[in-house]
Amino acid sequence: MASIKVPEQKVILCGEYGVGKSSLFRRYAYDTFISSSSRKSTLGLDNFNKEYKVDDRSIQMQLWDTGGMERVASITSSYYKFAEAAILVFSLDNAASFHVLSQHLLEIVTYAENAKIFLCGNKSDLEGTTPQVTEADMENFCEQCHNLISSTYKTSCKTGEGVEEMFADIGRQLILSNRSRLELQTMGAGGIGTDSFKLGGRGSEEGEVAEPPCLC
Amino acid sequence: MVNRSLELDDDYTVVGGKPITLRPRPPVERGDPLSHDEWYEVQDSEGRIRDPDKIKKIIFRGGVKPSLRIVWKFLLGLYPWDSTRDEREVILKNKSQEYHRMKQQWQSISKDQEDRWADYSARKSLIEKDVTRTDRELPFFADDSSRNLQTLNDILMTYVMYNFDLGYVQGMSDLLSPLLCTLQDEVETFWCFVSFMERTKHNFDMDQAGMKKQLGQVYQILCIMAPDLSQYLVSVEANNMFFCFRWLLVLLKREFSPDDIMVLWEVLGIYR
Repeated sequence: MASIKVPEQKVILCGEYGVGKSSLFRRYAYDTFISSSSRKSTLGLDNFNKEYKVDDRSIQMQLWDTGGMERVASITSSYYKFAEAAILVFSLDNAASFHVLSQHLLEIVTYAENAKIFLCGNKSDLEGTTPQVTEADMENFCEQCHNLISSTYKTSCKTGEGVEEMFADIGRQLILSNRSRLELQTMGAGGIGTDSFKLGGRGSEEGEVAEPPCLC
Repeated sequence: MVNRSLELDDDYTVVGGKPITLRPRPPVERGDPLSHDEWYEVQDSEGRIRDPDKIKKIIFRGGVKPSLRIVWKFLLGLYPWDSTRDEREVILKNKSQEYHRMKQQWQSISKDQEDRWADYSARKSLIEKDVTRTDRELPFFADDSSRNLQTLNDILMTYVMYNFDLGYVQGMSDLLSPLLCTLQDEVETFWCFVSFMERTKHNFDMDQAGMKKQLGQVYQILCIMAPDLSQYLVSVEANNMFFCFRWLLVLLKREFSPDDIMVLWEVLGIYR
């Protein structure tokens, strides 16, 4: 049966051990939360696909979770490779897990240079009245890294609060940022009997020669 | 031969084609697990095991009766097969002193010192995070205030002092758990774990060379046994075999029930 291929977007989870990456994964994939009595550390790789729709556009969001594999560059780079989005996860009740994020950020910009980056404070149910990481801290972090962070979220995998909203929002942003690319593909396929769209072929209708990109 | 793949849906693909034909497997009969009678039969009056090869052969064919898993202490070299009961007592006494000396080392590190010793506190924090999520579905570890969780933690911390360079790597707590559940004694479990880690430490290399080597070997076997599947994996860029990482890292521990994994490790000779 022929079906229109929905574009796949790889989304990776990054963050310290025990901040709840797998719990986010599990909430996203199965809408469940596993209490500490049967939780296990993640060894290796896990992934799960889910379709998101905005208007008439769909994408397959492919979420990747990892644990214990990231110690060497060759494995790290293949985990990050082709990621369209990366979620930096930390635990709101653990300041250390927040302060270490700049390292993960560095890896993302090194190995997945085109990925949109999101910041997620998990375990909001444990935040309490004197939070270990405040919203001001999160804002400062975003400023310090030159606004590389597209959005910030607070989630609780335990209660489910904010999780679906976060993934829906990330899905929406991915669709929007892909819209122009998708439209180019559609034009290319529908218009001139070829499925490749050549830059500069039809684009310069006014006869202009495209200027070389500025390198400043 | 027509090689073609049939698209089932987005998640799974059936890869067609015939695997190579192997010679028929020789019939192998599974034996009974090592029994108490067989175990005591090979011991002389002073407790030496006279015929370790016979014992190993029985274990290879059928494992060990669960109530007789003290045999692991011999398989893992804590006690030599030809040691007498009295000698074993002396060995345990010495090993116990050595263990407690190393345990004392980390227990006497103050919070202050820890703050200035990043390598140590990184290892400690990893262990804390993993101990609370190791085999918690087993009654042995179920209770949050369980003494056994504490023991699991203490053995791993003492192992850090025993081999600081290897330290602690995720997955190690999974390998320790069946030993502790079975042997229960802290000192004996520690030394059996030391010997077990000698055999499996390459899974935890800092540069992951041991894991990469094994992943490569699995791929090579697949190329011979199921060439279509190996080609398919190449086509989807999965021939790095990372999806086997967990299976190899903790010797299939996460893929079998706790009871089955013990038998599997026994017959595979992983404890030898």
